[in-house]
Amino acid sequence: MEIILISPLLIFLLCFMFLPIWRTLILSFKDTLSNQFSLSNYKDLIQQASFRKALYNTIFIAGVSLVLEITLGLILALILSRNTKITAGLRMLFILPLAIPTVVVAVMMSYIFSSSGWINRILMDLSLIKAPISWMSGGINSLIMIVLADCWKVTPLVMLILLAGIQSIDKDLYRQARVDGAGSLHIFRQITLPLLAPYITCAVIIRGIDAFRIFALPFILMGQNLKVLGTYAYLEYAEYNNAYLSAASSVLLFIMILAALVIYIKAVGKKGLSLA
Amino acid sequence: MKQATIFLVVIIFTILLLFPLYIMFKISVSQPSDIFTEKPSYLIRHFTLSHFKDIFASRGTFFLPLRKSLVVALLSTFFSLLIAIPSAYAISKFNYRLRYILILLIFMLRMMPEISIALPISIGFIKIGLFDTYFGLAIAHLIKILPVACFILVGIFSSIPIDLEKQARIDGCSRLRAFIWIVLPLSLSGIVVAGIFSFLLSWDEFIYASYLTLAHPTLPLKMYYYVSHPDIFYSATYAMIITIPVLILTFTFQKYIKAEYLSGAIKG
Repeated sequence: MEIILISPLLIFLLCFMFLPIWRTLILSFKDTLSNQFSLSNYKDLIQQASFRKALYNTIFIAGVSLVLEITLGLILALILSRNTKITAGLRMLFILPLAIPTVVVAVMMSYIFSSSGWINRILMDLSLIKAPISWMSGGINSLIMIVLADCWKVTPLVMLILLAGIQSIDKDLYRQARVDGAGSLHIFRQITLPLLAPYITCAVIIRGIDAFRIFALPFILMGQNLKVLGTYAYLEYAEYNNAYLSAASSVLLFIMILAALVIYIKAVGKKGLSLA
Repeated sequence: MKQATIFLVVIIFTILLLFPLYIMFKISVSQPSDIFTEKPSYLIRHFTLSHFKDIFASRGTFFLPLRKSLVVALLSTFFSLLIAIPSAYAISKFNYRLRYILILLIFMLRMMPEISIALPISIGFIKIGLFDTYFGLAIAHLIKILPVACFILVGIFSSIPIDLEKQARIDGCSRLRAFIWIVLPLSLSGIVVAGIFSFLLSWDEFIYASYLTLAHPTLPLKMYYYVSHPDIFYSATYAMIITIPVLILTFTFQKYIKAEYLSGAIKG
Protein backbone atom coordinates (compact mmCIF):
# COMPACT_ATOMS: atom_id res chain seq x y z
CA MET A 1 0.00 0.00 0.00
CA GLU A 2 2.72 2.47 1.01
CA ILE A 3 4.65 1.61 -2.12
CA ILE A 4 1.76 2.76 -4.32
CA LEU A 5 1.48 6.04 -2.42
CA ILE A 6 5.15 6.79 -2.59
CA SER A 7 5.78 5.63 -6.14
CA PRO A 8 4.96 8.97 -7.84
CA LEU A 9 7.63 10.63 -5.69
CA LEU A 10 10.17 7.90 -6.37
CA ILE A 11 9.51 7.96 -10.10
CA PHE A 12 9.84 11.72 -10.13
CA LEU A 13 13.07 11.66 -8.16
CA LEU A 14 14.42 8.98 -10.47
CA CYS A 15 13.52 10.76 -13.72
CA PHE A 16 14.21 14.34 -12.79
CA MET A 17 16.95 14.16 -10.21
CA PHE A 18 18.79 10.88 -10.30
CA LEU A 19 18.96 10.44 -14.09
CA PRO A 20 20.10 14.00 -14.90
CA ILE A 21 22.72 13.81 -12.16
CA TRP A 22 23.83 10.43 -13.52
CA ARG A 23 24.15 11.89 -17.02
CA THR A 24 26.18 14.81 -15.68
CA LEU A 25 28.42 12.35 -13.86
CA ILE A 26 28.98 10.28 -17.03
CA LEU A 27 29.58 13.42 -19.07
CA SER A 28 32.23 14.63 -16.65
CA PHE A 29 34.26 11.46 -17.20
CA LYS A 30 34.09 11.54 -21.00
CA ASP A 31 36.95 12.83 -23.05
CA THR A 32 35.90 15.82 -25.14
CA LEU A 33 37.36 14.43 -28.35
CA SER A 34 37.40 10.65 -28.15
CA ASN A 35 34.28 10.20 -25.98
CA GLN A 36 36.19 7.57 -24.03
CA PHE A 37 36.31 7.34 -20.26
CA SER A 38 39.03 9.63 -19.00
CA LEU A 39 39.94 12.07 -16.30
CA SER A 40 40.99 14.71 -18.83
CA ASN A 41 38.20 17.11 -17.86
CA TYR A 42 39.25 17.07 -14.26
CA LYS A 43 42.87 17.59 -15.25
CA ASP A 44 41.87 20.54 -17.42
CA LEU A 45 39.86 22.02 -14.58
CA ILE A 46 42.63 21.83 -12.03
CA GLN A 47 45.07 23.39 -14.47
CA GLN A 48 42.75 26.34 -15.10
CA ALA A 49 43.59 29.37 -13.00
CA SER A 50 40.00 30.62 -13.24
CA PHE A 51 38.68 27.35 -11.82
CA ARG A 52 41.11 27.40 -8.92
CA LYS A 53 40.05 30.96 -8.25
CA ALA A 54 36.38 29.94 -8.27
CA LEU A 55 37.17 27.10 -5.89
CA TYR A 56 38.93 29.46 -3.51
CA ASN A 57 36.07 31.98 -3.73
CA THR A 58 33.48 29.30 -2.97
CA ILE A 59 35.33 28.05 0.10
CA PHE A 60 35.90 31.59 1.35
CA ILE A 61 32.29 32.64 0.92
CA ALA A 62 30.84 29.44 2.34
CA GLY A 63 33.19 29.38 5.34
CA VAL A 64 32.96 33.04 6.34
CA SER A 65 29.23 33.37 5.75
CA LEU A 66 28.46 30.21 7.73
CA VAL A 67 30.43 31.38 10.75
CA LEU A 68 28.93 34.86 10.54
CA GLU A 69 25.37 33.62 10.05
CA ILE A 70 25.52 31.17 12.94
CA THR A 71 27.01 33.82 15.24
CA LEU A 72 24.54 36.55 14.31
CA GLY A 73 21.64 34.07 14.26
CA LEU A 74 22.56 32.91 17.76
CA ILE A 75 22.78 36.47 19.10
CA LEU A 76 19.40 37.33 17.58
CA ALA A 77 17.81 34.12 18.79
CA LEU A 78 19.07 34.70 22.34
CA ILE A 79 17.70 38.24 22.36
CA LEU A 80 14.37 37.34 20.79
CA SER A 81 13.78 34.23 22.89
CA ARG A 82 12.54 36.39 25.79
CA ASN A 83 8.80 36.45 25.87
CA THR A 84 7.63 40.03 25.71
CA LYS A 85 5.31 41.88 23.37
CA ILE A 86 8.25 43.69 21.77
CA THR A 87 10.19 40.52 21.00
CA ALA A 88 7.08 38.96 19.47
CA GLY A 89 6.86 41.92 17.12
CA LEU A 90 10.57 41.81 16.39
CA ARG A 91 10.38 38.10 15.60
CA MET A 92 7.86 38.95 12.91
CA LEU A 93 10.08 41.71 11.59
CA PHE A 94 13.20 39.58 11.48
CA ILE A 95 11.71 36.83 9.37
CA LEU A 96 11.18 39.41 6.64
CA PRO A 97 14.31 38.54 4.60
CA LEU A 98 13.10 34.92 4.41
CA ALA A 99 10.26 36.24 2.32
CA ILE A 100 12.42 38.26 -0.07
CA PRO A 101 13.39 36.25 -3.16
CA THR A 102 17.16 35.77 -3.52
CA VAL A 103 17.15 37.36 -6.96
CA VAL A 104 15.53 40.45 -5.45
CA VAL A 105 18.11 40.47 -2.63
CA ALA A 106 20.84 40.52 -5.29
CA VAL A 107 19.24 43.48 -7.05
CA MET A 108 18.79 45.31 -3.74
CA MET A 109 22.40 44.73 -2.77
CA SER A 110 23.61 46.09 -6.11
CA TYR A 111 22.07 49.45 -5.12
CA ILE A 112 23.75 49.27 -1.75
CA PHE A 113 27.23 48.22 -2.85
CA SER A 114 27.71 49.89 -6.25
CA SER A 115 30.57 52.40 -6.30
CA SER A 116 28.17 55.32 -5.95
CA GLY A 117 25.99 53.16 -3.72
CA TRP A 118 24.64 53.64 -0.28
CA ILE A 119 27.16 51.86 1.86
CA ASN A 120 29.94 54.09 0.53
CA ARG A 121 27.69 57.09 0.98
CA ILE A 122 26.93 56.27 4.60
CA LEU A 123 30.54 55.44 5.47
CA MET A 124 31.63 58.74 3.93
CA ASP A 125 28.89 60.71 5.65
CA LEU A 126 30.06 59.24 8.92
CA SER A 127 33.61 60.12 7.74
CA LEU A 128 34.77 56.56 8.35
CA ILE A 129 36.32 56.41 4.89
CA LYS A 130 37.69 59.12 2.62
CA ALA A 131 37.32 57.62 -0.83
CA PRO A 132 34.55 55.25 -1.96
CA ILE A 133 35.44 51.56 -1.63
CA SER A 134 35.05 49.66 -4.86
CA TRP A 135 32.99 46.66 -3.85
CA MET A 136 32.12 45.30 -7.24
CA SER A 137 35.46 45.07 -9.02
CA GLY A 138 36.53 41.67 -7.78
CA GLY A 139 38.98 40.62 -5.12
CA ILE A 140 38.43 40.47 -1.38
CA ASN A 141 35.99 43.40 -1.34
CA SER A 142 33.58 41.59 -3.63
CA LEU A 143 33.88 38.41 -1.60
CA ILE A 144 32.97 40.35 1.52
CA MET A 145 30.07 41.97 -0.31
CA ILE A 146 28.65 38.57 -1.26
CA VAL A 147 29.13 37.28 2.28
CA LEU A 148 27.24 40.28 3.68
CA ALA A 149 24.46 39.96 1.11
CA ASP A 150 24.11 36.26 1.91
CA CYS A 151 24.04 37.03 5.64
CA TRP A 152 21.21 39.50 5.13
CA LYS A 153 19.13 36.87 3.42
CA VAL A 154 19.93 33.80 5.50
CA THR A 155 20.58 34.86 9.12
CA PRO A 156 16.79 34.87 9.82
CA LEU A 157 16.54 31.21 8.86
CA VAL A 158 19.38 30.31 11.23
CA MET A 159 17.72 32.47 13.89
CA LEU A 160 14.41 30.61 13.46
CA ILE A 161 16.04 27.20 13.83
CA LEU A 162 18.04 28.26 16.90
CA LEU A 163 15.01 30.00 18.39
CA ALA A 164 13.12 26.72 18.24
CA GLY A 165 16.05 25.14 20.06
CA ILE A 166 16.22 27.75 22.80
CA GLN A 167 12.49 27.57 23.39
CA SER A 168 12.69 23.81 23.77
CA ILE A 169 15.07 24.15 26.76
CA ASP A 170 13.37 23.54 30.08
CA LYS A 171 13.11 26.88 31.93
CA ASP A 172 13.50 25.11 35.28
CA LEU A 173 17.12 24.38 34.43
CA TYR A 174 17.83 28.10 34.34
CA ARG A 175 15.95 28.75 37.54
CA GLN A 176 17.83 25.97 39.28
CA ALA A 177 21.18 27.30 38.04
CA ARG A 178 20.31 30.79 39.27
CA VAL A 179 19.42 29.41 42.68
CA ASP A 180 22.79 27.68 42.74
CA GLY A 181 24.39 31.05 42.07
CA ALA A 182 25.57 30.59 38.48
CA GLY A 183 26.38 33.69 36.41
CA SER A 184 24.88 34.46 32.98
CA LEU A 185 27.99 33.47 31.06
CA HIS A 186 28.31 30.28 33.03
CA ILE A 187 24.67 29.40 32.35
CA PHE A 188 25.13 30.10 28.67
CA ARG A 189 28.19 27.88 28.39
CA GLN A 190 27.05 25.08 30.64
CA ILE A 191 23.33 24.87 29.81
CA THR A 192 22.29 26.77 26.70
CA LEU A 193 25.14 25.86 24.38
CA PRO A 194 25.23 22.09 25.03
CA LEU A 195 21.46 21.76 24.76
CA LEU A 196 21.46 23.91 21.64
CA ALA A 197 24.19 21.87 19.94
CA PRO A 198 21.86 19.62 17.92
CA TYR A 199 20.00 22.66 16.59
CA ILE A 200 23.26 24.34 15.64
CA THR A 201 24.24 21.17 13.81
CA CYS A 202 20.91 21.18 12.03
CA ALA A 203 21.40 24.83 11.00
CA VAL A 204 24.97 24.20 9.85
CA ILE A 205 23.93 21.25 7.69
CA ILE A 206 20.89 22.92 6.11
CA ARG A 207 22.82 26.13 5.52
CA GLY A 208 26.16 24.57 4.68
CA ILE A 209 24.82 22.72 1.67
CA ASP A 210 23.29 25.87 0.23
CA ALA A 211 26.30 28.03 1.12
CA PHE A 212 28.56 25.96 -1.11
CA ARG A 213 26.00 25.98 -3.90
CA ILE A 214 25.55 29.75 -3.79
CA PHE A 215 24.54 30.99 -7.23
CA ALA A 216 22.07 33.83 -7.63
CA LEU A 217 23.91 36.41 -5.51
CA PRO A 218 27.35 36.14 -7.16
CA PHE A 219 25.75 35.62 -10.57
CA ILE A 220 23.64 38.77 -10.50
CA LEU A 221 26.05 40.94 -8.52
CA MET A 222 29.32 39.94 -10.17
CA GLY A 223 28.64 37.71 -13.20
CA GLN A 224 31.91 37.02 -15.02
CA ASN A 225 33.97 39.20 -12.71
CA LEU A 226 33.88 36.92 -9.72
CA LYS A 227 33.08 33.27 -10.19
CA VAL A 228 32.15 30.74 -7.59
CA LEU A 229 31.82 27.06 -8.48
CA GLY A 230 28.09 27.38 -9.10
CA THR A 231 28.43 30.27 -11.53
CA TYR A 232 31.59 28.74 -13.01
CA ALA A 233 29.64 25.65 -14.01
CA TYR A 234 26.89 27.84 -15.46
CA LEU A 235 29.15 30.22 -17.37
CA GLU A 236 31.39 27.44 -18.68
CA TYR A 237 28.37 26.13 -20.53
CA ALA A 238 26.57 29.39 -21.29
CA GLU A 239 29.62 31.29 -22.56
CA TYR A 240 31.98 28.63 -23.89
CA ASN A 241 29.47 25.88 -24.58
CA ASN A 242 31.68 23.41 -22.77
CA ALA A 243 29.26 20.95 -21.18
CA TYR A 244 32.09 18.58 -20.19
CA LEU A 245 33.96 21.04 -17.99
CA SER A 246 30.68 22.34 -16.62
CA ALA A 247 29.70 18.82 -15.60
CA ALA A 248 33.10 18.08 -14.07
CA SER A 249 33.02 21.22 -11.96
CA SER A 250 29.51 20.35 -10.73
CA VAL A 251 30.71 16.93 -9.66
CA LEU A 252 33.69 18.43 -7.85
CA LEU A 253 31.38 20.81 -6.03
CA PHE A 254 29.19 17.89 -4.99
CA ILE A 255 32.19 15.94 -3.71
CA MET A 256 33.35 19.00 -1.81
CA ILE A 257 29.99 19.45 -0.07
CA LEU A 258 29.84 15.79 0.82
CA ALA A 259 33.39 15.84 2.18
CA ALA A 260 32.75 18.98 4.22
CA LEU A 261 29.62 17.42 5.65
CA VAL A 262 31.34 14.17 6.58
CA ILE A 263 34.23 16.03 8.20
CA TYR A 264 31.83 18.22 10.14
CA ILE A 265 29.74 15.31 11.36
CA LYS A 266 32.90 13.42 12.37
CA ALA A 267 34.12 16.51 14.22
CA VAL A 268 30.98 17.20 16.24
CA GLY A 269 30.54 13.51 16.91
CA LYS A 270 27.50 11.75 18.26
CA LYS A 271 26.42 14.33 20.79
CA GLY A 272 25.81 16.99 18.17
CA LEU A 273 23.72 14.61 16.15
CA SER A 274 21.18 13.39 18.63
CA LEU A 275 18.57 15.41 16.74
CA ALA A 276 19.63 14.69 13.20
CA MET B 1 23.56 48.69 31.16
CA LYS B 2 22.86 45.19 29.88
CA GLN B 3 19.40 46.23 28.70
CA ALA B 4 20.90 49.21 26.91
CA THR B 5 23.40 47.02 25.03
CA ILE B 6 20.64 44.67 23.92
CA PHE B 7 18.52 47.60 22.86
CA LEU B 8 21.40 49.02 20.82
CA VAL B 9 22.10 45.68 19.15
CA VAL B 10 18.44 45.30 18.21
CA ILE B 11 18.35 48.82 16.76
CA ILE B 12 21.46 48.17 14.66
CA PHE B 13 20.08 44.87 13.38
CA THR B 14 16.77 46.50 12.53
CA ILE B 15 18.44 49.27 10.55
CA LEU B 16 20.63 46.80 8.66
CA LEU B 17 17.53 44.76 7.95
CA LEU B 18 15.28 47.52 6.71
CA PHE B 19 17.70 49.80 4.92
CA PRO B 20 18.22 47.75 1.70
CA LEU B 21 14.46 47.23 1.44
CA TYR B 22 13.86 50.91 1.88
CA ILE B 23 16.39 51.79 -0.84
CA MET B 24 14.73 49.40 -3.29
CA PHE B 25 11.35 50.92 -2.52
CA LYS B 26 12.77 54.42 -2.74
CA ILE B 27 14.28 53.86 -6.17
CA SER B 28 11.08 52.35 -7.52
CA VAL B 29 9.08 55.46 -6.53
CA SER B 30 11.66 58.18 -7.20
CA GLN B 31 12.12 60.45 -10.14
CA PRO B 32 15.37 60.07 -12.12
CA SER B 33 16.51 63.55 -11.10
CA ASP B 34 16.46 62.46 -7.44
CA ILE B 35 18.56 59.35 -8.05
CA PHE B 36 21.11 60.45 -10.63
CA THR B 37 22.69 63.17 -8.57
CA GLU B 38 25.97 63.56 -6.80
CA LYS B 39 24.41 62.98 -3.40
CA PRO B 40 20.97 61.39 -3.51
CA SER B 41 18.93 62.24 -0.44
CA TYR B 42 18.11 59.67 2.22
CA LEU B 43 14.45 60.55 2.06
CA ILE B 44 12.02 60.23 -0.81
CA ARG B 45 11.83 63.70 -2.38
CA HIS B 46 9.35 63.46 -5.23
CA PHE B 47 7.11 60.46 -4.87
CA THR B 48 6.01 59.06 -8.23
CA LEU B 49 4.32 55.91 -9.44
CA SER B 50 5.37 56.53 -13.02
CA HIS B 51 7.71 53.50 -13.17
CA PHE B 52 4.90 51.21 -12.07
CA LYS B 53 2.57 52.86 -14.59
CA ASP B 54 5.14 52.49 -17.37
CA ILE B 55 5.52 48.81 -16.67
CA PHE B 56 1.79 48.18 -16.46
CA ALA B 57 1.33 50.17 -19.66
CA SER B 58 3.90 48.05 -21.48
CA ARG B 59 1.17 45.42 -21.80
CA GLY B 60 2.54 42.11 -23.08
CA THR B 61 6.12 42.65 -22.01
CA PHE B 62 4.84 42.77 -18.44
CA PHE B 63 1.64 40.75 -18.43
CA LEU B 64 2.97 37.70 -20.28
CA PRO B 65 5.84 37.15 -17.80
CA LEU B 66 3.41 37.82 -14.94
CA ARG B 67 0.99 35.25 -16.35
CA LYS B 68 3.76 32.73 -16.86
CA SER B 69 5.11 33.18 -13.33
CA LEU B 70 1.63 32.87 -11.85
CA VAL B 71 0.52 29.88 -13.90
CA VAL B 72 3.78 28.02 -13.36
CA ALA B 73 3.71 28.72 -9.62
CA LEU B 74 0.10 27.52 -9.33
CA LEU B 75 0.75 24.46 -11.48
CA SER B 76 3.81 23.47 -9.50
CA THR B 77 1.99 24.03 -6.21
CA PHE B 78 -0.81 21.75 -7.41
CA PHE B 79 1.53 18.99 -8.55
CA SER B 80 3.69 19.41 -5.49
CA LEU B 81 0.75 18.75 -3.16
CA LEU B 82 -0.61 16.02 -5.43
CA ILE B 83 2.65 14.08 -5.23
CA ALA B 84 3.88 15.11 -1.79
CA ILE B 85 0.74 14.47 0.29
CA PRO B 86 0.43 10.73 -0.41
CA SER B 87 4.19 10.22 -0.43
CA ALA B 88 4.78 12.06 2.81
CA TYR B 89 1.89 10.16 4.40
CA ALA B 90 3.49 6.88 3.33
CA ILE B 91 6.93 7.98 4.54
CA SER B 92 5.51 8.99 7.92
CA LYS B 93 4.29 5.40 8.34
CA PHE B 94 7.70 3.91 7.57
CA ASN B 95 9.93 2.77 10.38
CA TYR B 96 12.68 5.05 11.61
CA ARG B 97 15.50 3.48 9.62
CA LEU B 98 13.78 3.52 6.23
CA ARG B 99 12.59 7.08 6.75
CA TYR B 100 16.10 8.14 7.68
CA ILE B 101 17.56 6.57 4.54
CA LEU B 102 14.96 8.21 2.28
CA ILE B 103 15.53 11.65 3.75
CA LEU B 104 19.28 11.19 3.55
CA LEU B 105 18.90 10.26 -0.13
CA ILE B 106 16.87 13.36 -0.89
CA PHE B 107 19.46 15.42 0.98
CA MET B 108 22.24 13.91 -1.11
CA LEU B 109 20.42 14.73 -4.33
CA ARG B 110 20.03 18.28 -3.09
CA MET B 111 23.79 18.61 -2.72
CA MET B 112 24.27 18.48 -6.46
CA PRO B 113 24.40 22.00 -7.90
CA GLU B 114 21.22 22.86 -9.75
CA ILE B 115 23.10 23.56 -12.96
CA SER B 116 24.02 19.91 -13.27
CA ILE B 117 20.34 18.96 -13.18
CA ALA B 118 19.05 21.89 -15.21
CA LEU B 119 21.37 21.29 -18.16
CA PRO B 120 20.46 17.65 -18.95
CA ILE B 121 16.81 18.46 -18.32
CA SER B 122 16.74 21.35 -20.74
CA ILE B 123 18.29 19.12 -23.42
CA GLY B 124 15.73 16.42 -22.67
CA PHE B 125 12.83 18.90 -22.70
CA ILE B 126 13.84 20.22 -26.10
CA LYS B 127 13.57 16.67 -27.44
CA ILE B 128 10.11 16.01 -26.05
CA GLY B 129 8.75 19.49 -26.73
CA LEU B 130 8.45 20.70 -23.15
CA PHE B 131 11.06 23.41 -23.61
CA ASP B 132 9.77 26.94 -23.01
CA THR B 133 6.33 25.72 -21.94
CA TYR B 134 4.39 26.38 -18.74
CA PHE B 135 4.08 22.70 -17.99
CA GLY B 136 7.76 21.97 -18.56
CA LEU B 137 8.91 24.73 -16.25
CA ALA B 138 6.42 23.66 -13.57
CA ILE B 139 7.86 20.13 -13.73
CA ALA B 140 11.39 21.50 -13.41
CA HIS B 141 10.40 23.63 -10.42
CA LEU B 142 9.10 20.51 -8.70
CA ILE B 143 12.72 19.31 -8.49
CA LYS B 144 13.36 22.16 -6.11
CA ILE B 145 9.98 22.11 -4.40
CA LEU B 146 9.22 18.44 -3.74
CA PRO B 147 11.98 17.76 -1.20
CA VAL B 148 10.89 20.79 0.84
CA ALA B 149 7.19 19.97 0.59
CA CYS B 150 7.84 16.36 1.62
CA PHE B 151 10.01 17.49 4.54
CA ILE B 152 7.25 19.70 5.87
CA LEU B 153 4.48 17.17 5.35
CA VAL B 154 6.37 14.19 6.81
CA GLY B 155 6.85 16.27 9.96
CA ILE B 156 3.14 17.10 10.07
CA PHE B 157 1.82 13.59 9.40
CA SER B 158 4.21 12.09 11.96
CA SER B 159 2.81 14.37 14.64
CA ILE B 160 -0.72 13.05 14.27
CA PRO B 161 -1.40 10.36 16.87
CA ILE B 162 -1.74 7.02 15.16
CA ASP B 163 -4.45 5.95 17.63
CA LEU B 164 -6.93 8.37 16.07
CA GLU B 165 -6.58 6.60 12.76
CA LYS B 166 -6.71 3.18 14.39
CA GLN B 167 -9.91 4.14 16.18
CA ALA B 168 -11.47 5.20 12.90
CA ARG B 169 -10.44 1.94 11.28
CA ILE B 170 -12.02 -0.02 14.13
CA ASP B 171 -15.19 1.98 13.65
CA GLY B 172 -15.28 0.65 10.12
CA CYS B 173 -13.65 3.40 8.09
CA SER B 174 -11.62 2.33 5.10
CA ARG B 175 -8.02 3.51 5.05
CA LEU B 176 -8.80 6.12 2.43
CA ARG B 177 -11.78 7.42 4.42
CA ALA B 178 -9.72 7.52 7.60
CA PHE B 179 -7.10 9.51 5.76
CA ILE B 180 -9.60 11.96 4.26
CA TRP B 181 -11.76 12.45 7.36
CA ILE B 182 -9.21 12.16 10.16
CA VAL B 183 -5.70 12.89 8.91
CA LEU B 184 -6.33 15.59 6.33
CA PRO B 185 -8.35 17.98 8.52
CA LEU B 186 -5.83 17.69 11.34
CA SER B 187 -2.90 18.45 9.05
CA LEU B 188 -4.56 21.23 7.11
CA SER B 189 -2.31 23.99 8.46
CA GLY B 190 0.78 22.02 7.51
CA ILE B 191 -0.58 21.40 4.04
CA VAL B 192 -1.25 25.11 3.66
CA VAL B 193 2.35 25.84 4.65
CA ALA B 194 3.67 23.24 2.20
CA GLY B 195 1.52 24.84 -0.49
CA ILE B 196 2.77 28.33 0.27
CA PHE B 197 6.38 27.21 0.28
CA SER B 198 5.80 25.48 -3.05
CA PHE B 199 4.28 28.61 -4.53
CA LEU B 200 7.06 30.87 -3.25
CA LEU B 201 9.88 28.56 -4.35
CA SER B 202 8.48 28.55 -7.86
CA TRP B 203 7.60 32.24 -7.93
CA ASP B 204 11.19 33.44 -7.46
CA GLU B 205 13.00 30.53 -9.12
CA PHE B 206 15.79 31.64 -11.42
CA ILE B 207 18.15 28.88 -12.57
CA TYR B 208 15.69 26.40 -14.12
CA ALA B 209 13.74 29.29 -15.61
CA SER B 210 16.85 30.63 -17.30
CA TYR B 211 17.67 27.22 -18.77
CA LEU B 212 14.16 26.35 -19.86
CA THR B 213 12.92 29.57 -21.41
CA LEU B 214 13.74 31.38 -24.56
CA ALA B 215 10.90 33.53 -25.80
CA HIS B 216 8.64 33.53 -22.74
CA PRO B 217 10.48 34.75 -19.64
CA THR B 218 9.19 34.68 -16.08
CA LEU B 219 9.18 37.75 -13.83
CA PRO B 220 12.60 37.07 -12.21
CA LEU B 221 14.14 36.66 -15.67
CA LYS B 222 12.50 39.87 -16.79
CA MET B 223 13.96 41.63 -13.79
CA TYR B 224 17.39 40.16 -14.55
CA TYR B 225 17.08 41.55 -18.06
CA TYR B 226 16.85 45.06 -16.63
CA VAL B 227 19.79 44.34 -14.31
CA SER B 228 22.02 43.31 -17.20
CA HIS B 229 20.78 46.08 -19.51
CA PRO B 230 21.03 48.60 -16.79
CA ASP B 231 17.75 50.30 -16.07
CA ILE B 232 17.76 50.94 -12.37
CA PHE B 233 14.10 52.02 -12.20
CA TYR B 234 12.72 49.05 -14.09
CA SER B 235 14.87 46.59 -12.14
CA ALA B 236 13.77 48.13 -8.84
CA THR B 237 10.14 48.23 -9.87
CA TYR B 238 10.16 44.64 -11.12
CA ALA B 239 11.86 43.65 -7.87
CA MET B 240 9.02 45.35 -5.96
CA ILE B 241 6.39 43.66 -8.10
CA ILE B 242 7.96 40.25 -7.44
CA THR B 243 8.30 40.94 -3.72
CA ILE B 244 4.88 42.38 -2.85
CA PRO B 245 2.82 39.15 -3.26
CA VAL B 246 5.49 37.23 -1.37
CA LEU B 247 5.32 39.67 1.51
CA ILE B 248 1.55 39.51 1.64
CA LEU B 249 1.59 35.69 1.64
CA THR B 250 4.31 35.47 4.26
CA PHE B 251 2.69 37.87 6.68
CA THR B 252 -0.76 36.45 6.25
CA PHE B 253 0.52 33.04 7.18
CA GLN B 254 3.48 34.05 9.33
CA LYS B 255 2.21 32.31 12.44
CA TYR B 256 2.50 29.02 10.56
CA ILE B 257 6.08 29.60 9.46
CA LYS B 258 8.10 27.88 12.11
CA ALA B 259 11.44 26.20 12.18
CA GLU B 260 9.71 22.99 13.21
CA TYR B 261 8.38 22.65 9.70
CA LEU B 262 11.84 22.82 8.21
CA SER B 263 13.47 20.45 10.63
CA GLY B 264 10.44 18.38 11.59
CA ALA B 265 11.23 15.51 9.29
CA ILE B 266 14.82 15.16 10.42
CA LYS B 267 13.93 15.01 14.08
CA GLY B 268 12.66 11.54 13.44
